[in-house]
Amino acid sequence: MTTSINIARDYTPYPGGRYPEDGRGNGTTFRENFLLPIIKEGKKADIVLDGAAGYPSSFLDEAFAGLVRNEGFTPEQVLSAFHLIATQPGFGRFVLLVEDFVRNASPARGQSRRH
Amino acid sequence: MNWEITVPALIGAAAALLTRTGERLIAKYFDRSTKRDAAYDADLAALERTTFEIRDLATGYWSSDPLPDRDKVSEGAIVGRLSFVAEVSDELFKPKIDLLRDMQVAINRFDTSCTFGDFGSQSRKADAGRCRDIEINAYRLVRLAKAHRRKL
Repeated sequence: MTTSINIARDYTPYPGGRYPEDGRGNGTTFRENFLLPIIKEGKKADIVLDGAAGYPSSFLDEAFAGLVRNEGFTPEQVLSAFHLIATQPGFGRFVLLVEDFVRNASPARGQSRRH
Repeated sequence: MNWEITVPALIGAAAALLTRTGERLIAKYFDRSTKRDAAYDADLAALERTTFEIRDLATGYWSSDPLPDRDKVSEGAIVGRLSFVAEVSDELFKPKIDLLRDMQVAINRFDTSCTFGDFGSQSRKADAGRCRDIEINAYRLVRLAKAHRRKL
């Protein structure tokens, strides 16, 4: 069964910031608490973007491309694990943005974890 | 009944009726078309105005190191208005999917110049290069929107 995560409902309606020190709603905490457990177990999830008050690109990059940069997954693994859903007017572009960030992400130097 | 008079009169009346109906339909069509064009132009004006508001906010934000009292307000205003621009663009260009996709790419480019990197972070630094990118991408976005509007 595919899990469904609604960012606005399950995490925050006001996503923003990259790191925990940037405050609530940051991308690192979302990645570690919601995305990482799913992809680590080889599962898949629908990520619903609708309902939030917009997404700063730094949040999306940290949450999704961070799985490549910091956690050692390949872009293909990330894009295959998560299906982004955006039906709200103006939100379709976020799907393109995330795909772009993930495809262009490279593992951080010294990154040794491989999945 | 004098058919020599009645038939031409009936034909004349029918023709007049048809002409009048045709005129009404044409007037209705142009009226609808004018209203639709006015709505498109209003959306385009809102998109342009809001894009330059974002430009002003974002260049102000990246012109200085973190300002704890003001940054959260600026960040909210920038992200919220970007959502509005994207929403207006989707509504405006939804009749033509290729134009809509072009706009999404341009809005993403503008968005990235405003909110990528250390946006939202207290460790961010003033960045003149980014201010330049924001200016360029704001103008490119508005220019593309105007060009695409003419294709609707």
